[in-house]
Amino acid sequence: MPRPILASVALLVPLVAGFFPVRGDLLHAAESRVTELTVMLAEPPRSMDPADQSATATRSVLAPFYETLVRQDETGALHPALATAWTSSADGLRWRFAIRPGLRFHDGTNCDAAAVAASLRRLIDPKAALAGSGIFREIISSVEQEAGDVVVTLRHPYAEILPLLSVTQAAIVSPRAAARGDLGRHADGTGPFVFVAWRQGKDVRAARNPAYWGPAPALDRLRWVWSPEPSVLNMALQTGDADIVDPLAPVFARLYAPGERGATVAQVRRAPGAALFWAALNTKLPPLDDSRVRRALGLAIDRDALVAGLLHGFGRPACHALTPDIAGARSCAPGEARAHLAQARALLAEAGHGSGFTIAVAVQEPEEPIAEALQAMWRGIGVTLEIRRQEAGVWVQSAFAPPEAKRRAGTGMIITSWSAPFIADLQLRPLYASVSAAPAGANLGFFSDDAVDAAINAVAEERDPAIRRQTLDDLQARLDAQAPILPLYNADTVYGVRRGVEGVTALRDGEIIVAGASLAEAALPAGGAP
Amino acid sequence: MMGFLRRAAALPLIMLGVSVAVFVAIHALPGDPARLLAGQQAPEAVVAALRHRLGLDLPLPAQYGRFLLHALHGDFGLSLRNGVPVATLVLGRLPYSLALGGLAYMLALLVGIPGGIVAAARAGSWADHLLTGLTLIGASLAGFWVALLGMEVFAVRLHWLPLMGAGGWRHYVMPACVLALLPAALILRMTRAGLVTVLRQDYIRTARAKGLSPRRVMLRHALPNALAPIIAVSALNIGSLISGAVVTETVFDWPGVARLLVDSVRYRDYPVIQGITLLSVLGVLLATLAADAAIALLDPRQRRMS
Repeated sequence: MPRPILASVALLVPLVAGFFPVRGDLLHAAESRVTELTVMLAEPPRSMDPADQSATATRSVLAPFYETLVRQDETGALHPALATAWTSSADGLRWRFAIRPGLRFHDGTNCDAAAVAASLRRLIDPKAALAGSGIFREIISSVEQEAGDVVVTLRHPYAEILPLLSVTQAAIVSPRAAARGDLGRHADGTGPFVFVAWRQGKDVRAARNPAYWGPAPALDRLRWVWSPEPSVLNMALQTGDADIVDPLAPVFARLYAPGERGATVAQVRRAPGAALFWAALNTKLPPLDDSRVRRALGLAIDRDALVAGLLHGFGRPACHALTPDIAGARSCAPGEARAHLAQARALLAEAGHGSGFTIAVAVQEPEEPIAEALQAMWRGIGVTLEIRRQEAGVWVQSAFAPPEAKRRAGTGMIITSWSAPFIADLQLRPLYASVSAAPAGANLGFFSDDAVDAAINAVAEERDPAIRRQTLDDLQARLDAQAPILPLYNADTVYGVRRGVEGVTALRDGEIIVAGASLAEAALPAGGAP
Repeated sequence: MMGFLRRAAALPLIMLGVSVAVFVAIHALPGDPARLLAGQQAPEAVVAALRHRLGLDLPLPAQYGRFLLHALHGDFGLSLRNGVPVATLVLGRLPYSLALGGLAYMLALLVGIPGGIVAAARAGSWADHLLTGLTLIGASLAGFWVALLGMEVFAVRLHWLPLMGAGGWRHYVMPACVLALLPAALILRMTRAGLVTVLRQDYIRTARAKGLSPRRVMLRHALPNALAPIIAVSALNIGSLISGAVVTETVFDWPGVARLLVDSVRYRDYPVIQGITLLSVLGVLLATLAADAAIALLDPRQRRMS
């Protein structure tokens, strides 16, 4: 509790502070002998209910509390988790999962087939109106318990149902906690750490789950704090107020380069990220309704320069519709990521816009530098980009406005990012399918192409890898030709880890996994681990 | 006294008017809370269901009526973001904001009033120029920048003070100093200006002619007469403290109400925004009333006027 009077007295002699070193790590040592890891994120968790959120930072917090039927590792390989085995019917519609015996939720109730089925039924229940339930409701028609197994029945075959069931939204929650109605504030799963407290505005705390079915975690406690200010995250890593910061802004990465002062206390880690940054072009607004104009804009972008200038090299240029790590995704060909101004000018001239035109872009503050870079690049082909920087709520209204409202506002382009957990369908359907045209979904430029729609469905349902790969390739070629969206780059997951902290990994969707982390002997608090 | 009571009695009516204005203003903000909460990856069907779950699809008058009815019973609703009662959220954080704000305010007075007295007593001297110059710098510097600079120097490099968060008294030092910067500068300038005017009055000359010490002239005769505008400005500074706290609490990761307000505006968490705004308005109104009372106590003319 704050002590204003004590603090006032103390403030009268602020110089006294100078005589007492208060380094974060010393404070840690003084207050406890248990091993605790503090993770600092850029935003607080949105919910403790895995199905009622869709934010990467929230997923990082929830990961130690919850588990899914199957688990995806940092390479994308699938492993058994709460399900020990699974089979599917020949038509790919019925999936049977054998549930690991002896599981218990943190609240002490059994995590058996009935509980797993109840958790998944809750996920697809329209009345529950859970924020992360969309794709599951579209794909899963029913979930039943049969002879100790869980049977998931799909509305149509879905090739990537197992990766889909490995995402956080599909984590299994305690039915009792869900019925209580406070799952949004109190995590209750089967994971290696038990939820302790979410002190609003301060932190989230977790403790080791002594009854965990898998390998016991090395750490006693986990703690998450947050700050929206990138420089504060960087300073917290240096002072020891945080053992891990995610994200570490690329601009600070050089402070931890070998030979620099920061290198003695922490190191920068990077992993290929799933966050695709892109610009959606309003295909209903002239001259952007002409695919030649859209292609010309894409050709005039120097994606290598964007990665070097905006990400300080911590990313990859994106030239095609899919994140490069998705199986079957096209990568940038040599030289493709550079600007091709002559070709762009020729295309614009062919489309009758050789003298240029003006388009307006709606952008939020974090993406404004991208808009400024594009503004400079497109000046070279006579295109003027009018930047409309908007606050988050205003931007959402602009971005998800229907065609008529966008036409009235003259919004030609939206810049944003998208993080799909390496499932092609989760990137293609929301961004390119006709049914996802805003405001229904994130097809913000209202692109509509029957052949593309059919190919998206085919990719989702096709289980033969060779056929699927070919369909994906054809689809990407068609999207390249239509250019409804200009992919810009994929940002790496960049995070900072204090020296002595081991076993921290980043999943391919940007989630930081700390449940398996440990502290090296040198980093242990005074007295060592209990 | 009657005037003061009349103003105090008008408070509920003012609060009712403010609640309507705040409700309308908040709902006029562009941005759909359901979409912001669900994220851009959520299909519209999910967003619509969420909108219904949160009661955001009701007509605005119905939403306001429901809010008012509950507010009269001390229930400001549930946060749209996490379902926590607004009163729990706000009251959990209020002590932190009050402690930090109170401390910063005290610091501003402790620096501003003596500084203003010194500057006025030595008007035109190097001390006066130094102090008024410092106030200009203090009022001009961005709190955000000062905060980051302080963190880099005192936390990262010198390890004297904690970087962020709330805890022991050391955690208060940097945020309170940053928060006090602007009000201290304003109070100092106002005190100096008020005293310089008063010190030119005939009765001050008379007091000096009677042989009173400069200290007695200043503290006994000049300061009480210059206090009224200082108190009025100090009360108004409560507002600037609240707006300053938005930056300070965010940068220093202080678990106060102002930071909650920023997060709530970002997600259009209407009930929380309403709760905090009404609380802030009430705080400013009460501070103004207290200032009026204090001025009336100090100045007999004010008592007669009211």
